Amino acid sequence: MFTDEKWSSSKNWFIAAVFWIIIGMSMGLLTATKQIWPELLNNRWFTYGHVRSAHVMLVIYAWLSMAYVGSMFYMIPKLAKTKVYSEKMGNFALVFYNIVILEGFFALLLGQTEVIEYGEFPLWVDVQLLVAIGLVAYNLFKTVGRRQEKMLYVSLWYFLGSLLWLPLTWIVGNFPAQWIPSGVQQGLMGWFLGHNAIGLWMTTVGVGQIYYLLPKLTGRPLYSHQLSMIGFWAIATFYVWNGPHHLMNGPIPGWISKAGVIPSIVLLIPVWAVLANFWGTMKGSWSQTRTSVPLRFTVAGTIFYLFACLQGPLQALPSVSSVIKFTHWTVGHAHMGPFGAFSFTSFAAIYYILPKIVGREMFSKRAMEAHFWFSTVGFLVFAFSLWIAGVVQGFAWIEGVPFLQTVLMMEPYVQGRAIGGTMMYVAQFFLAWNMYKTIKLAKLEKKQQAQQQAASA
Amino acid sequence: MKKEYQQHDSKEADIVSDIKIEHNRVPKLLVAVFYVVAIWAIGYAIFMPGKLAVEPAAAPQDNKGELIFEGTCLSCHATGAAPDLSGVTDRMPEEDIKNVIKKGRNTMPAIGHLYTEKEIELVYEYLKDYR
Ligand code: HEC
Ligand code: HEM
Repeated sequence: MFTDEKWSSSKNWFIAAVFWIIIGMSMGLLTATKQIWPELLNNRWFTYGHVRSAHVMLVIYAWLSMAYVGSMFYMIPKLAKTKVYSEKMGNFALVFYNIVILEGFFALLLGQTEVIEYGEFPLWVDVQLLVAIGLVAYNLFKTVGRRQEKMLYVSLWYFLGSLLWLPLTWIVGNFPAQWIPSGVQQGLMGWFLGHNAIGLWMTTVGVGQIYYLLPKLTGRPLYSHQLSMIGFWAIATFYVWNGPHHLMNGPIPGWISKAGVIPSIVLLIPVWAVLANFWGTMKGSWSQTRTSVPLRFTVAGTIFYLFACLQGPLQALPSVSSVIKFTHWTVGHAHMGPFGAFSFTSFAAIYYILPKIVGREMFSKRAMEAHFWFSTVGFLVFAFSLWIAGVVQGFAWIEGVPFLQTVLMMEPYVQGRAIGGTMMYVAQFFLAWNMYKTIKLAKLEKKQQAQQQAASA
Repeated sequence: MKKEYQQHDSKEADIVSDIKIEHNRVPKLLVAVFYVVAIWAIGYAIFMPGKLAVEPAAAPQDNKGELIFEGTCLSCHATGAAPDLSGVTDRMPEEDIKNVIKKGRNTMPAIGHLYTEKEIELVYEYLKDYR
């Protein structure tokens, strides 16, 4: 029932991922539009709260996570110089994972939620998702176990680390929270999940992708082994501590607060080490970004990663937090990492890997260009609208401007965000269409080749 | 076969999984940043409170009625979802107004349990000046 074809897991996870980016972003665009016309689709299923949670959960656990798994099903065996342990199991896990995501999606639209940011699926979905993630991790660890290459390239450290950290984060964040006393404790547990889904999954798999893609796309050696060591171990050590910075100035004890602020700033060490390594590798290759869209996506991703991590440590400071907390600013920041940085590197991974799998280059270079520019310009419009909005909103609250008035003040910015968001959304159709065409043509060409061979034989 | 990693500064590259890895030195600027961040971290841990220091409110709040009115009542009464309350004390007796707050009326929910008798009194006082 499930195919054993070489690289089929990678390809199929990518296809599913792109299906979900369209659905997930539709939910996002609907959320943004509801901020302008609250009456829109105001029925039992599509209330604001339902749609917003569905958007967040789908883009992270459906789109981005499936794109990550797709990349890993190609990059891990390549780095290990072996085959995937079981393509069949990879394809089975994909079908299972998608069923679970569908369940979660409908549960959220029905109003079932755990009310934990980034962990909103109800318990019965969480359990199944854990099994699906476990299957993927098992398959990939087995693959590395059979490796023909003695050394582990740095991307592999990140991938294997992330495949352990995600289930761990998922367990700690979703399960004990049902039994511990509610209130501050649950908030802290919830942000252990929230932050580590960001820090030990989205960030680390994404960084692993970049470490793989840059040397391949530029043909240049990786700049420094020592920097990769510093970057990896410092991320692994400090990222888990960051949860409390999401509750800054909240009712948490001072020492927990400090235990969250300090690692947030110390994170500058791994982030800059990793970026120095990336840009050292890029030396002499910057001009290639003009012609190579995958390389341009990767490099733009590293730049957005830098900006996310310049904002982040500042946001963690109590003084800055007192202005931007609960404002639109955070939403702007929250899209820079997951979209600007790591969706971009995932796009690059798809554009690099898919042609290798199907044996023909991407159907349309112009669609790739359109995908890049719509995504980038759209994101910048989106993000700057929200950042300006957040600062205005934050200071208005401090001044004591009546709340309703501050809501009305946000009108132009919320519209700007929806316009940027529409561009980001449109961009993804170029990706989907281009993938569809490429895969279809590749199949056709293979068939023709086979016929020709049969005819000449 | 030289495959061992070494912490040296040679330009000789290792090859892992067909990817070349160089051994360039960590840039000096970065090392400086590492030290600054580390020293800051220790200083912050020892000397800072880890939260925003909030001065206790200077005077006891004498605008509680206004705060409740703006924070709660206006969410409905300034949106068109509920009647405009300017001058309401002229058209309704005190007892009725307080009863609407405590027990609700038609589509207005009862919110009496959220406030003390004193607070409801303060809201009423505020309403007298609200026109
Ligand atoms: C959830 C929305 C909501 C909130 C919050 C709310 N109200 Fe109302 N209020 C209403 C609605 C709706 C009506 C009209 C009820 C009706 O049609 O009988 C109303 C009616 C009233 C009336 C009667 C007005 C008249 O002209 O007959 C008074 C007085 C009143 N509210 C006072 C308050 C005060 C004071 C507060 C804050 C402590 C408050 N309300 C909070 C929704 C709300
Ligand atoms: C050193 C790097 C970073 C630090 C210190 C940091 C810090 C923070 C802080 C303090 C907040 C809370 C803001 C608030 O609620 O007021 C936050 C929110 C957020 N960050 Fe970062 N950030 C960093 C990088 C990143 C990256 C790389 C990503 C994505 C991969 C990311 C994704 C998010 C998201 C999604 C939120 C929103 C959380 C919410 O829903 O409230 N951040 N970050």
